Amino acid sequence: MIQVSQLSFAYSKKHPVLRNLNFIIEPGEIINILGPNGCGKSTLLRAILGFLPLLPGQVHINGHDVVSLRPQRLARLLSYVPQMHNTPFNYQVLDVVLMGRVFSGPWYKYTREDHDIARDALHRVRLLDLASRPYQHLSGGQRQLVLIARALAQGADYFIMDEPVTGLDYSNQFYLLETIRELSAQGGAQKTGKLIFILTTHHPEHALFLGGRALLIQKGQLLADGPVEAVVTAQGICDLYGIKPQFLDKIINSYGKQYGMAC
Amino acid sequence: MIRHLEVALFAIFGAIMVSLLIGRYGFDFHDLMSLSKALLAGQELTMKQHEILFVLIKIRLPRIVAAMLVGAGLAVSGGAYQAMFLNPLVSPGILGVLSGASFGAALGIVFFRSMIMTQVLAFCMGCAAVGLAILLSTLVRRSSLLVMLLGGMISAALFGSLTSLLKFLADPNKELPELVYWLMGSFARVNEETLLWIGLPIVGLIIYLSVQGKVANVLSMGDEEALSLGVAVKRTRLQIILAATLLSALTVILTGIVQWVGLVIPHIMRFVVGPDNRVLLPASAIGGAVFMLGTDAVVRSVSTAELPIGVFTSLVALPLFILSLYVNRRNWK
Repeated sequence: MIQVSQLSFAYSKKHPVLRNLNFIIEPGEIINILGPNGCGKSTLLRAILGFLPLLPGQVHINGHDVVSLRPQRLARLLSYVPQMHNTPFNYQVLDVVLMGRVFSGPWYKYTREDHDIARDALHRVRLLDLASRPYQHLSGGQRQLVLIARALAQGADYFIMDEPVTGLDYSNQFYLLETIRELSAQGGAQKTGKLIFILTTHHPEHALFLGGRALLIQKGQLLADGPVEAVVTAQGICDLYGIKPQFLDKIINSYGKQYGMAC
Repeated sequence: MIRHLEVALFAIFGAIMVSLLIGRYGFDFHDLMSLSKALLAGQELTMKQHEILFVLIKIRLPRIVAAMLVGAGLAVSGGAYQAMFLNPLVSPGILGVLSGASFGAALGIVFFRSMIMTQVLAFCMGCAAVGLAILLSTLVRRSSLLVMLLGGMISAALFGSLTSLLKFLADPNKELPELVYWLMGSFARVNEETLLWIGLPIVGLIIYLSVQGKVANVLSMGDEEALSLGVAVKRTRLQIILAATLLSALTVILTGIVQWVGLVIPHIMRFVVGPDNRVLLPASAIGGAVFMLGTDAVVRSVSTAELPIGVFTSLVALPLFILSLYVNRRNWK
């Protein structure tokens, strides 16, 4: 369980990014976080991941305060799937996935078990065939799947993903979302508990596709929180992004109304 | 992996043998074999064999050991630096260690005129320059690696100009040539005592850095990713940077300033064994040792005068570098 209580954060004193957020994430959920650019979505994820200098007591994971948790322990509870990143070194796919096991075993090498876990994780995202290919030669969608495999290898229950579909083509976007849905239904690699995905997205239809719960965030505050079908409605979207219902109508009509939203 | 190890051992052994045989005092492989036979059998040595033994142990062996330590040390610390700064263009001098060491040596030569003081000051100032770079980077709150590199540039520039000042002040007949010669790097000053008390920490640091590959890979993905993978990023990164800095500062005591090895050898080895630091770091150490032995062999056979090694490292490294770029040109499209 992740418990966020009275979470506020500011990079500089004048401009608070997050204002007094309170919510609880239970096991077995998919959490879609939506909000306009600059609303604090990514900052919220970074706060949960322990990247920010927070006050103690604002974010608890399974009862542990993220501020005081050692990185090694935190990595067993939470895994992070970053957006596209840019290391200049072109590691092999399997080596990238093995990084998810860095906290386990002896400090200078990976064990046979680590290798088995990494291969199994690659198998679950259907990329085992590419294990010995250079990571940077893969397509954007495949890279994102490799990072998901790395997060699986980490063995944590909570997956934090910052706009996982950014830069992917139309079909890859839905392939990735489908993989997330599958993994969420299958559960963790080693534990019986279910995987919990917490992801930010700019696409309301992706949230509807994934299902689960949605948090709408506006100017660092929680605008709405509830099941996706109840929250990601035409009214909710209009309120969240400050667009006129007629304009949303126009967008939806251009999509052929397949998302079932109408003002 | 096994194949790599065999190749590496073969390369090192070959380079040592060649280095043992090259030099002004002439003897060949045959002499060497009969000498070792005589030694193993416990026979009385001939006059010639006594001479050979003396040359081997007192002159060539210390030099060979020094060359290997300096080459391996600079190359592995360069590889480690490149992983820590997520940048394959970084070399051990990037945080100012070499500029600081040059300044320290200049102080020692101009003001103290003593070998020991020159070495000690070179080491201390090398570390001080890196300390200044890191201090500057803490001026920026939650600073990035880029700020540390900038700090290094500032520190290197500062100590560089101070060195120039000392060059200007130095006596042009005595001190200046010595200083210039020192800055080019040379194995001429290597002796057994220095090697003994400096060799052990160098070996220790080479081994320490060579086995950091697992965590170096993760750190080369950037701070936040490494943190989320479970590495105590700040502490670990600083530890590795400090170990690499200390290592390059120690090599300076042995040979003075040797450029290029730390940048080029990890680069070339990356073409050979790939970017995985678990293999790359030890491979860089071995490659650096072999490269330095080879370069020293060239230097010793080109002329009977003692030529500065630092000049030749770039002359030998650059063609190798260009060759490895050419061989791997497909990867650079």
